[in-house]
Amino acid sequence: MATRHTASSCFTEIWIEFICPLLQVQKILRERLCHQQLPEKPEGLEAQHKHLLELLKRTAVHGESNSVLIVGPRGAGKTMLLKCVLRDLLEETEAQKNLLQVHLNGLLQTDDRIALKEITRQLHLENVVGDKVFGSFAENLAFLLEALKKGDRSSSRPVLFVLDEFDLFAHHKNQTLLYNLFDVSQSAQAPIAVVGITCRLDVLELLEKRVKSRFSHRQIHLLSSLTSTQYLERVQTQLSLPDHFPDGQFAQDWNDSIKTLCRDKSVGEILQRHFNSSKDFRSLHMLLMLCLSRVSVAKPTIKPIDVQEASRVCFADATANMLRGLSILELCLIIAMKHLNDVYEGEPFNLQMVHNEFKKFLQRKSNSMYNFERPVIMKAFEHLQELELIRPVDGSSAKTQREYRLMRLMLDHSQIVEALQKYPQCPTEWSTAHLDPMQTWICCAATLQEKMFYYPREFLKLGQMKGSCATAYQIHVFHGNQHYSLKQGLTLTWGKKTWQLEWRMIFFFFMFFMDRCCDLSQQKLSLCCVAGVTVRCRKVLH
Amino acid sequence: MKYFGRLRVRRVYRWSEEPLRFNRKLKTFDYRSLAISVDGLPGVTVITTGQHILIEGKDEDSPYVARVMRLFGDESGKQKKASIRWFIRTSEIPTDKLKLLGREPHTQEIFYYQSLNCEEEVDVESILRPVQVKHLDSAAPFPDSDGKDTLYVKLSWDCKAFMEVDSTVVESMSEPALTYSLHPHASRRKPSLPPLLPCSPPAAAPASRAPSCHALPMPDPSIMHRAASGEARYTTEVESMHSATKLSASKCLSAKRRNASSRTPGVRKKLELSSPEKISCVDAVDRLLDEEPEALLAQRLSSSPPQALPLSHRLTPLRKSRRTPTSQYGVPVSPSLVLNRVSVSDINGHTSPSKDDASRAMTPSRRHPKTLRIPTLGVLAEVIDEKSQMMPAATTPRSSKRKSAQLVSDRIRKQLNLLDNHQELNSDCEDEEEFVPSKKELQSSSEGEEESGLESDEVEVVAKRNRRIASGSLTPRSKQHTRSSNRTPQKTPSKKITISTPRTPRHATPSIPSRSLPARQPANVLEEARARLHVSSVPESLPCREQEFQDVYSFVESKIIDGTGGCMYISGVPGTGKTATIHEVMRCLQHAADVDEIPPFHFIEINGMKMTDPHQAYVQILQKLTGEKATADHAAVLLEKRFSNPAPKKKTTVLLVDELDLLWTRKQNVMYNLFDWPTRRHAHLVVLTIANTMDLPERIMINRVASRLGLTRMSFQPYSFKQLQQIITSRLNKVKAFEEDALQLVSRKVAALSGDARRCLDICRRATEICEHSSTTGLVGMCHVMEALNEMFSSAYITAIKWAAVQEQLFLRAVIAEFRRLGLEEATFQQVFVQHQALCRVEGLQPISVSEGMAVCQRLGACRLLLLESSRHGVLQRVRLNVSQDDVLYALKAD
Repeated sequence: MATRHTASSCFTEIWIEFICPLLQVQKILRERLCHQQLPEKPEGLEAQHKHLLELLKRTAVHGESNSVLIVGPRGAGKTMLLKCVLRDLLEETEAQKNLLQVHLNGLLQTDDRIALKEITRQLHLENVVGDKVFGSFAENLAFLLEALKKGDRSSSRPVLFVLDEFDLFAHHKNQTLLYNLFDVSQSAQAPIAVVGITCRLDVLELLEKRVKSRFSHRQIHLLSSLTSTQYLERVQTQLSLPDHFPDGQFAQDWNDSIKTLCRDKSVGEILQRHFNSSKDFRSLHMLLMLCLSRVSVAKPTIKPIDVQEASRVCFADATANMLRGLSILELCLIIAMKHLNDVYEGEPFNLQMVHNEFKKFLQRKSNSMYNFERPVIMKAFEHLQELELIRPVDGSSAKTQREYRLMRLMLDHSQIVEALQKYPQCPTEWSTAHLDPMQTWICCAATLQEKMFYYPREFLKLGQMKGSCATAYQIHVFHGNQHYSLKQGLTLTWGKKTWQLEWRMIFFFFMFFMDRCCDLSQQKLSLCCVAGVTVRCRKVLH
Repeated sequence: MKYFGRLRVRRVYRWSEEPLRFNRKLKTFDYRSLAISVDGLPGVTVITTGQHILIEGKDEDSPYVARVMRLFGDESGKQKKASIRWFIRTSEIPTDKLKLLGREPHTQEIFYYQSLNCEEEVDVESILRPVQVKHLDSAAPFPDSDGKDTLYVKLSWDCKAFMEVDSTVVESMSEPALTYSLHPHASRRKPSLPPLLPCSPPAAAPASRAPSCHALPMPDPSIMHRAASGEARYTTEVESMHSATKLSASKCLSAKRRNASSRTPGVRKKLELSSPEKISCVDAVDRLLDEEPEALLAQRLSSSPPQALPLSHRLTPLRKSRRTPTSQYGVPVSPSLVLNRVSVSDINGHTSPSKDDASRAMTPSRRHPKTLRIPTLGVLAEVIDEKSQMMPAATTPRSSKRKSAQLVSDRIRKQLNLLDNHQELNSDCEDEEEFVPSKKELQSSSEGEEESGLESDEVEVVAKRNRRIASGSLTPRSKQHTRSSNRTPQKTPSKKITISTPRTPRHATPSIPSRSLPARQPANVLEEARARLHVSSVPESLPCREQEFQDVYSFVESKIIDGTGGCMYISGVPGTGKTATIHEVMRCLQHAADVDEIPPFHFIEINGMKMTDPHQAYVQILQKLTGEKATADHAAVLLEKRFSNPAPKKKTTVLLVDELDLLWTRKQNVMYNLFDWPTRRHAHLVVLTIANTMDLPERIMINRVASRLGLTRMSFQPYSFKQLQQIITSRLNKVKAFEEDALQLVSRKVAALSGDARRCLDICRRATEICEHSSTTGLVGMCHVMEALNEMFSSAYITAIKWAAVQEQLFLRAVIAEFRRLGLEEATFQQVFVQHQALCRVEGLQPISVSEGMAVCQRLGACRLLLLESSRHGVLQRVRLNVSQDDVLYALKAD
């Protein structure tokens, strides 16, 4: 009893002393870095903030119709500015009681019909006439215009239209929505404020001239005039804990450690590099987020090494990483393509040419390379195409035979060189091992995923790859007599090295790379996870 | 109320004899006398011109008194009208003003009413009976008992001061009206004499005036007296004592009075209002002012056409000398328009150096036409009995419009720090010039004179009006004005009927919920100015579009009157007032229709931008016309039927098609139908189409459509800087928020760029905001305007490059370097990237990876500093600059 009590109290102490503040640090900083909390005031944008606030206030309070565009590069804080302004605006009761808001996004409301429905919904007008509103597009438009026309400056509630990705609205047919919104804002109808948010500097040129004439030509530009010292200061404030942090001592220590971190030379260089590359804060936040996630009870501060590691991840070249996940054969083909490119100065090539080049290469090093059969090479070629490392030339017709379809290499010289340098010692014995560890990994992970969900206790069979691993989920060819059970773990043989792995580790890594995938672009999700896993796995393996 | 009971006694009005003559221009018949017979009574009362009459008013016991100047009717004989001059009763003058009289007024005393604000034409139906009015010398006592029906005139009243009244007014009163009927011209002209003369110095006058006596059909000895008599002024200015409530009360009264007579809308009225007479710092004043200029104008219009003819007869050399410039233009001559006259000649004095003494001598009066001083008439030849009964004082003046007008000018003067009413001529010129910097130069040219009326932003309301009259006839445009106004002889303000477009009944639609708290009113001058400068604030008038207004008006009006159809195509770049002008025309026409001046009509409006599909045009037209809902095809059939079949009592439909180019379809059947319907016999359809491009018919219409559209085209030119300036000034309406130079800068800049009025207003509005924030002086100055202009017109590219990240700048340099190397304006990312790596090394930066370089490139592409192919091309995507290379180099060099 007594011992248990001490154990639990000991745990509580540990909890209070170490874990609890860390959790709070994580919470506070994550909120900050993930843009879930608006800053007190938009830093560096005070003038714009004032301008926009005044403008919207006049709409809310005086019923003056306005239109304005907020223009700035991505990550400059356009939406943040608007949100701050709205927060400040709604603090006034007069505005709060009156202002109606309609938020549209050019990516969601891809045409005027959807946009009109969305407006009607957000204005809560649909109840007024039952389902009538959601009739045809034409009726909908007439309905909304009528509704806006009925209002007048002094009596109706002002409506704020926020058009995110404003430039996309300009691509709608005839720009009907924009014309009508601007027309209302320039005539004595219900007071509205149209706020467009865009990152295109040439957005006005997109507008038709009659639409343009109705727009008030107010533009608020968010161009950060940040210097590198300010940037460093900003990093420090972003990572510092606020004064009202419950554990004062901890906050003090944390802030001191952050200060020393920012004074560190290597960190300064990394941040300078980030600053050189882009001034926007979203990428900075990503970097800091990676640092933050390395903070643990054992290591309750951010060390310069964390920043370096995070920066390495951020600046990693995705395509070069993908190259490292290729089989030797594929890599050889790529090298052959690069030769062709050098010889023919960027002219497109086809499989036949690549194959010939590859054969020349083999002749030179005949002893170390196995001469693959043509179908194998074809598969490898197709795999490269699926990874979009090569692309068919525009306009080359699909009718041409696959061998003769013209292709272009989508890689830069530097990427290939980098990949080759980092590639593990190029195997001398092609014949003995047809699988490289990476591909095994993919097989494992992919098959594991399937097994885990469907047949958790099935044996996992691995063997020689025949064909490609086009999609990681389609590998079904096994080597004759080798069976591996999940319980036993995997034994991988590569040359003379052997790795013994437990399935739990595999699972862990798999989950890790799946997690990592989410950060990458959605488009190439499957491909990128392949690349991702290879990188991670390699690291763990060595 | 009792009064209406009496009215129910049915009176029959008819012309007692054949018309004197037919006025072809106005399409009216002039009559000498009118017979009124009351049902059930044998007697017939005959009213002749020159006679005094009672006109039904709000009060049964004291009907209005007036003198008939002219009787006329239209061709059909339906409308019988009388042109009259008002007299005012003591009960109608406010009590505090009565004090100015300096004595107790007589019960039967009336005053000759010299105000420009009263309607001068009434329906004969409002005439009750004739009454006897006698003129008394100002010093003479009131006669003891002359019966209840005799009224006495001693003085005139112009809402500010009592003045000696001219005996010519009196003369005609005392004499039988028949005498005048023989000389209608003379009798009509006479009342206008006295106000004209007083301004001339006694020294110059007799010589020129002497022969005039002989020329007169009715030799008038009083003129001699007048000439010799000195100036006794009764001009006491008391306007500041006037409380707002009284003003508004009196406004109501005058409005009522104007209502009593039938009205027709002023064709030009709205346009005239462009002149920024109004000033609004005080609400009450504002309200008054709303009515005031219209009333003035309305009166001028109502009186001018009928009197144009008589004026062309010159009576005296003196008249001639003074009137030549004016009379040939058909300036109205009436007691109430004295001011007009004076300032007309005044203006002429400005322009023509060959003026005689007389006209030069008039100049003093020009400074304050509103406080015109009329010299006492001296001893008049006629002797009239006097009576001295005192009347109970009442508080309602006939009209206090003049008062408000004066208030306006007074306020302006205050603003200009020219408080003194009795200033020298020069100071007054400055006064005007402060508002209208370009006035002088405008006046120098004959065409400029026309414009000066339009552009000038002057203090003197009346003077301005007259200049317009004077200059108006010089150009063909003004002919149109008169012609169109012929149809509507009576002009009255259309303020009360602001929204006149016919609304077809529609389904109940929801509207934006109303505010829980009322919108705040503008609190200071800048906010006020901002509210006025907002494009949405509907101006009372559209300056600078008079010609177009007239053209459209006459086009539509003629079509409506003839019951035919037609098309008109109107083009012009955005922001030149096309739609606004048409709406203005429609408002005026609707007003005209409301008072039966023209046949009633439908006005419907569709906008190509406000529909989702060209065929929706049918649906919208049908719905606005009949309220029915139908599908596009069905609607087309219904409309086809409607426009091709004859129907009894069909109203003309005026259809405005805005943004015509959007109704284009491949087969063009929508356009075809729109232009084909008007050609049908029974359609009664007028189609006005608006689009931006001048050659739209040639460009997008196939032949059969273009042919049906016809050649009635009009093009709205972009505003010149002067026009823009005038538009702002008229909008600002005397709210002094801008420095003159600042306004000029804005209008010049906008005129040079687009001539878009909206842009101009937006810039001004932004400038007021900047001014407010900078919180320096109250006026918006050059610096503020410059800042606003920069904000709106300067492109952000250079700033964007300047503040871009280092790698982004390097990339742009790499792009230019690669372009130079290739000699092309396009390169692939790969090529540029090689350059970029090299540049990185030169700059001592760590070379970036390909994906980082790609990210930089994409960021530049998102801002559209670069134009990129779609990103699926990877390193092979082609890159182009969206900015000129010079701009990039300039921006990069700057830091």
